[in-house]
Amino acid sequence: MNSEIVKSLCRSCEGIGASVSDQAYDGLAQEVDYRTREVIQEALKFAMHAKRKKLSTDDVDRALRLRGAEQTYGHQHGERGVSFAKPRDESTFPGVSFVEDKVHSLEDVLCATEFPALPRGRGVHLHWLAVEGTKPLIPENVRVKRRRKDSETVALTLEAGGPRAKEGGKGAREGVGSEFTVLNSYETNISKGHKHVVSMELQTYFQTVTRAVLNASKASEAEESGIEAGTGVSDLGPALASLGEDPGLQPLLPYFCSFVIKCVEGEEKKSFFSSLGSCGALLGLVQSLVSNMHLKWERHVHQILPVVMTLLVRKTLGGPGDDHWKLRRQAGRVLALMCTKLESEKSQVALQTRVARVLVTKGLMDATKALTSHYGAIVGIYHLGDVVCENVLLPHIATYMPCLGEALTSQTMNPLQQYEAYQCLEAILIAIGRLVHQSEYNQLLGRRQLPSGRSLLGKGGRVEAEGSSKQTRLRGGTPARARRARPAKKKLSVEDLRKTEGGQSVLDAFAVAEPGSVADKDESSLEDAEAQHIDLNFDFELNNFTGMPTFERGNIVSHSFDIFGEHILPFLTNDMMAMML
Amino acid sequence: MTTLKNDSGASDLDWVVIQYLHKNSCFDAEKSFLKHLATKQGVDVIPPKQVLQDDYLKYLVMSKLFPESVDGVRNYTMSYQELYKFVTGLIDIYREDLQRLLYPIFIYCLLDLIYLQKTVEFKDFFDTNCSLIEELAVPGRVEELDQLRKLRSEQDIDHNPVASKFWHSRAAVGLSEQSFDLLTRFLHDHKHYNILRILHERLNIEFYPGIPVKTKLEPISIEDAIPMSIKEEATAANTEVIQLGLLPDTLEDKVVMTAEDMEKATKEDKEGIKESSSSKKTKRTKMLFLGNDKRIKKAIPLATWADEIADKFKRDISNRERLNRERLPSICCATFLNTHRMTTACHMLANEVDIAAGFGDSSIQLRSLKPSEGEDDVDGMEEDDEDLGNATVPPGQAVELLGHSGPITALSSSLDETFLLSASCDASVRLWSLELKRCLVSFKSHSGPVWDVAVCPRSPYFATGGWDGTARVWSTEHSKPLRLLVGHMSDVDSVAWHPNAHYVATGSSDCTVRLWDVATGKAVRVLTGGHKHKVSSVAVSPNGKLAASGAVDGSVAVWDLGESKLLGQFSTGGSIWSLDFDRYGSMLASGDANGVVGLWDAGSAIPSPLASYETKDTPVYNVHFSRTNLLFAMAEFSNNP
Repeated sequence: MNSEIVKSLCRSCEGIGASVSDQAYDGLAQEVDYRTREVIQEALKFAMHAKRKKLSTDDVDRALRLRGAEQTYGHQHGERGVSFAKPRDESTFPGVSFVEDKVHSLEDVLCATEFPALPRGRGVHLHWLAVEGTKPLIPENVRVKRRRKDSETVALTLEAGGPRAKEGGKGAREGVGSEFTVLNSYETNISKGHKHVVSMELQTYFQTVTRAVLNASKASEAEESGIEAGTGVSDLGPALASLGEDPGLQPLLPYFCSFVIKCVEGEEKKSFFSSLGSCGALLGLVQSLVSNMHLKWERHVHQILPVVMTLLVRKTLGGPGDDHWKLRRQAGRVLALMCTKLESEKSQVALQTRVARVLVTKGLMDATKALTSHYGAIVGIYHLGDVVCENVLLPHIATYMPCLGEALTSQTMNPLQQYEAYQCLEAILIAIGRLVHQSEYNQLLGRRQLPSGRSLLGKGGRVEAEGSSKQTRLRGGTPARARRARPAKKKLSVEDLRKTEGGQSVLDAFAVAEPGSVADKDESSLEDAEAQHIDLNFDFELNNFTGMPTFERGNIVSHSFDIFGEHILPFLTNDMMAMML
Repeated sequence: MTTLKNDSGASDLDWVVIQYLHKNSCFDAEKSFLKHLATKQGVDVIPPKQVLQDDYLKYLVMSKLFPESVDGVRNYTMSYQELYKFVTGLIDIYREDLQRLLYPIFIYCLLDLIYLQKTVEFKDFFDTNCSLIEELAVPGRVEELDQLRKLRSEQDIDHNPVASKFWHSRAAVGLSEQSFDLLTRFLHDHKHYNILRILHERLNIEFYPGIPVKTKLEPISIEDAIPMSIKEEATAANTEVIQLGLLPDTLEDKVVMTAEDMEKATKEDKEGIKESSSSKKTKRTKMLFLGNDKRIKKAIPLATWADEIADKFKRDISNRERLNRERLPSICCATFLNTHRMTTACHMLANEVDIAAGFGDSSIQLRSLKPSEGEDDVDGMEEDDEDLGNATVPPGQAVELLGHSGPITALSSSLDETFLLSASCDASVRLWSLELKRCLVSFKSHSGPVWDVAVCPRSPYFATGGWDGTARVWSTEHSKPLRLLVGHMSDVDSVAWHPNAHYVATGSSDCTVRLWDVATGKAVRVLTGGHKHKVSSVAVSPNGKLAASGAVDGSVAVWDLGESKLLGQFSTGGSIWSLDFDRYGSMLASGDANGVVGLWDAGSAIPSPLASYETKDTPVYNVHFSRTNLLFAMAEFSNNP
C-alpha cells in the first residue's frame, strides 16, 4: 500500500480527492497498510482453523467483523476465477481495479430450461489405510498422478463394463457396478493394470477368449487327425473380432500377454509349435490385440515381440507337410502391424529399425540358420515396408544371393531344402520386385521423390543374376499379354514396364547381369505353359490388385520351370497355383 | 573525561564549536575563534585540555540543535512507557520485530540520564520501568540490570563493564523498513525526540525492505524468536514440581493381563513387570504398560465412572493391541466425500462407532461408521453387536446438528457417550445431547472465536482455547468458566487434557506449549524452542509423562513434561492438524494437511519416525486411537487440493 494507491482510491470516491493533501496521503497509506495487515492476520487465523490453505472471502469478512468493521458484501466465497477489471477511464483513476460483475440477463435465468444438477450429498467412505502396518493395495490407497491420458483409459474401462456384460453373459453386474461407483465417487483415476481393476465381467471375457483360442488349436489338431471338429473353432472368429475392436480391454492386456507367453514358453512348448493350428490361433489373438486401436502397447511390446519373432523365424513350425509359410507371412504382417502401432503411439522405442536389424544380422546373414528362418526374416523385412527393404534388405542381398544360389543349385541338397531355398528366393523377389515396381511406377507418374529403379538396382548390385533369366524370357512374351495390361490400373505389369523407357532399362539391367549360362533353349516348349501362367497371373492381378504385387509371380513361375526341371515342377506348380488362386 | 559543564565561561554553543575545532586539530581556527570571543564578547575562554568523546560531542551538538530532545529529560520515563505500550499493542508481525528494540532503548535511556547527571530521574526511570524491562529480559540480562542499577555518575560508566560495553558500541539490530516506519511515525507524532535520537544515534539498525520476515527475526537461533518474557517465565515455571502420575482409579489398573499379553510385552516392559511382581505380589494389570508410578491424590473433585461405561472400557482395554516398532497398528481411514473443502473439524465419538464432522456452514453432522443394511462385521471393525447397541446414529444415515452461527472449529465428546461439545467461530461452545440430538447449553465467555475444545477424561470438566489468547476450564454444570488460563501471547489454538485430569496442555500461535494446573490456574510448564510457527495441535501421552505438539509448518515436537525438555523433533510436509498417542503411549500418530498419516516411535528415549501412510490427496483432519488401539484417521477428499 503506497500513497499512490490511496490517492487513487480517494479520487475514486467522489468529492474526497480534491481536499486531501499529499502528506495526508502518506500518513493515510501507512495507516491503511497497517489495518489491512491486521485484517489479513485475523483472516489467516480463520483459514487455518478451517484447515484450509486458501484464504476465502468469508475469512476476510469474519476478520472484519471481529475487528468491528463492516464486512464486505457481494464477493461470495466459492466463485472461481475472480476477474478484475479496470475502470473505463483509467487515466483518471490510475491503479484502481475492481471485481468484475458479470451482467446476467434476467430473461436467461428465468427461461433457463436446463438447471445444473444438484450436488451430491455428503458421505463418508471407510477404507483400510493400513493393516498391521502394511498398506493394502485397494483402489482407495492407490495414489496416481493426475494425467489426462489415464483418465481416458479409465473412462474407457468404465465404458467397457457394458459390452462386456453382454458378451460375457454372466458378468456380475452388481459387484462391478458398486466397485465403479466407489471409484466414480472418488472422482479419481486408477492406474491401469492392477489386478483389482479387472472386474468380473472382464475376467469372464478373458476366460472365454483364451478358451476359444485353446479350443481352436485343439480343434485343428482334431481335424487333422480326422476327428470331428470341436465347437471351439466357431468361437474363435467372433472372439478375435471382438478383441480387435472392443475398447476397454487395456486392463486385460497384461493377462493376454502372459497367456501368450505361457503358451509359448510353457511345458508344452514343443507340442505347441508342432501344431500349426494353435500357432495360428495364437497369432490371430496377437494380431487382433495389436490391431485394436484402443489398446496401448508400449509397455507390453517387449513381452509379445519375441513370440511373434519366433513364429516368424523358427526353424520348424507345424508338422511335416504343413504350410508354415503362410503362418510366417502372417507373423510378418503382425510384426509390421506392431511397428506401426507403436509408431502411432508415439513410443520412444524405435522398434522398426531394431527388428529389421535383428532380422538381417541374426536371421538372414547367419548361414548356420535354417532356410526357413531366412524365409521368415525376408518376409518380416518385406512387411516392414519399402523403405526398410531398400535400406536393410537390398544391401545384403549381394552377399546373400550366392548362398541361396548354392542351396538352389547344389545337387546334394534334398528336394525339401531346395524347395525351401526356392521359397526364400521367391520372398526376395517379391520384396525386391515390389521395390522396383513401386519406384518405376512412381517414376511413371512423374513422382521424383523416390529413387529410380535403376539406382535401386545399382545399389543392389548384380545380385539378381540368379533370378534374372526369366526376364529374358518374358521379353519375348506374347503381345496378347500387353493387351491385358490396363494403363489406369494401380499395378503395372511387366509389359507396361517394358513399354516405358524406364521399365525397359530395368529389364535390361537384369539382362545385363545375366551370367549367360541359361540359354533360351526351352523357350518355345515352355511358351504355352508360360502364357497360361501369365494369364492366370493377370486374372489374379485383376481380381486382387490391392494384394501383393504379382507380376513377379509370373517370373517366378517361369523361373521355376527353367531351373528345377521336371522333377520338382509338378509339386511346385501345384503349390504355386494353390497359392495364387 | 571532561564534564558537561563548561567552566570556561563561554556559552554552550561556543563551547561546542571550540570543542569541535579542537578535536579536528583546527588549532588556528580555534585560536582565532578564541581571540574573537575574547575581543568581541569579552569572555576569556580557556582552551579545552581534553578532547571530548566523539559520541558526547555529537550529543552536545544534538542538544543544541534539538533542544527539546535534551530538555525532555524528565520525559524519559513517560516516553519509554508510552513506547512500551505502543509496541506491545501492535499486531503480531510488527510486535515481534519491534519488541527487540525495547531493551537496548531502555539501556541507552539509562545511560543518557546518567550522562546528563540526572541521578534522580535515573532512579525514577529505573524503578518505574524496571518492571517492564524485566518482562523482556532474558536470564542473563537480569545481572546486567543489577550492574546498571549501581551507576551513580558518568564516571562510573567507564568502570561499569555493562555500561561501558553499551556506551562505546552501537547495538546492532535488524529491522524491517515497515516496522521502522511505524516506530518513527509514532515517535514523531508523540514528540518522543529523546527516544528518536537514541534510535538514530545509538542503535545500528540494519534495514531490510518490506514486511518483517520470520527468518530475519531469528538470525541466530530459534531461542531468539521467543519473546524474552516467555523465556523468563519458562525458566521460572519449568522448575515447579508437578504431579504427572495417573489417577488412583484408572481403569487400566483393574484389567488383569492375560498370558498372551505378557508374551507380547517387550523386554523393557517385562523387566518392569518382573520388578513389580517381585516387589509386591499383586495382580499384573494392564496398567503396567503405562508404568509403575505412584498414583496421585485427587486435588479437584472428579466424578467416578458409571458402571456400564467402566465395564465397556475394561472390555476394550482387555482387547487392546500392544503396539511397538514391530507391531504397527491398523489404520482405518474415513474419508468425507462431496464436502467441497467445507469440513473444518472431525471427531470420533466416545462409542468409537460414530463420527462427528463440523462444517464451514456452521452445521455438525453425526454419522455412523457401521455399514448399513445389516451387513454384519463386513469389515471386522466392530467385533460384537451389543457394543453397537448404543450407537447414536442409525447406520448409513446422518444426523445434522444446527445451532452455531460460525464455522465449527473443534468437536469433542464426553467419554460417557452422553454429549458432544462443539466450538465455533461465533465465540460460543455448545453442548449437544447425543440422545436428543439437540443443543442443551451454549457456553459463552470467550471474547472471540473459540479455536479448540477438549473434554476432560473425567467428567464434568472441559477446556477451551480461543482467539482472545486465553484458555478456559469449564464444568458442564456451570455456564461460566471455572478457570481462566492467561499467559499466552497470542491465540490458543489447541487444547488437550492430561490423563490425570489435573492439567491442561495448550498450544498457541506464539509458538509455545504450556501446561496449566487446573486447580490453581497457573502455568506450570512453558515449553519453548520446539516450533517456529503456530502450534496447531497438542497431545499428552496416556502415561502422562510426554506431550507432543505439532505446528502449521509441519514440525512435530515431543516433550518430557516432568523435566520440561524437548525430546525430539520431526518434520512432515504439511500442517499438523491432529496428533494422538496410542493407548499405551508407545506410538504417536499425526495427521497433516498433505494427507499423510505419520507414525512416530514415542516409546523410546529418542523419538523417531516409524512409518507414514499417504492418502489420496485427502488432508487428514483427525487421528484417533481407539481403546483397542485401532487407529482411525478422518480425512476429507478434495478435488483441487
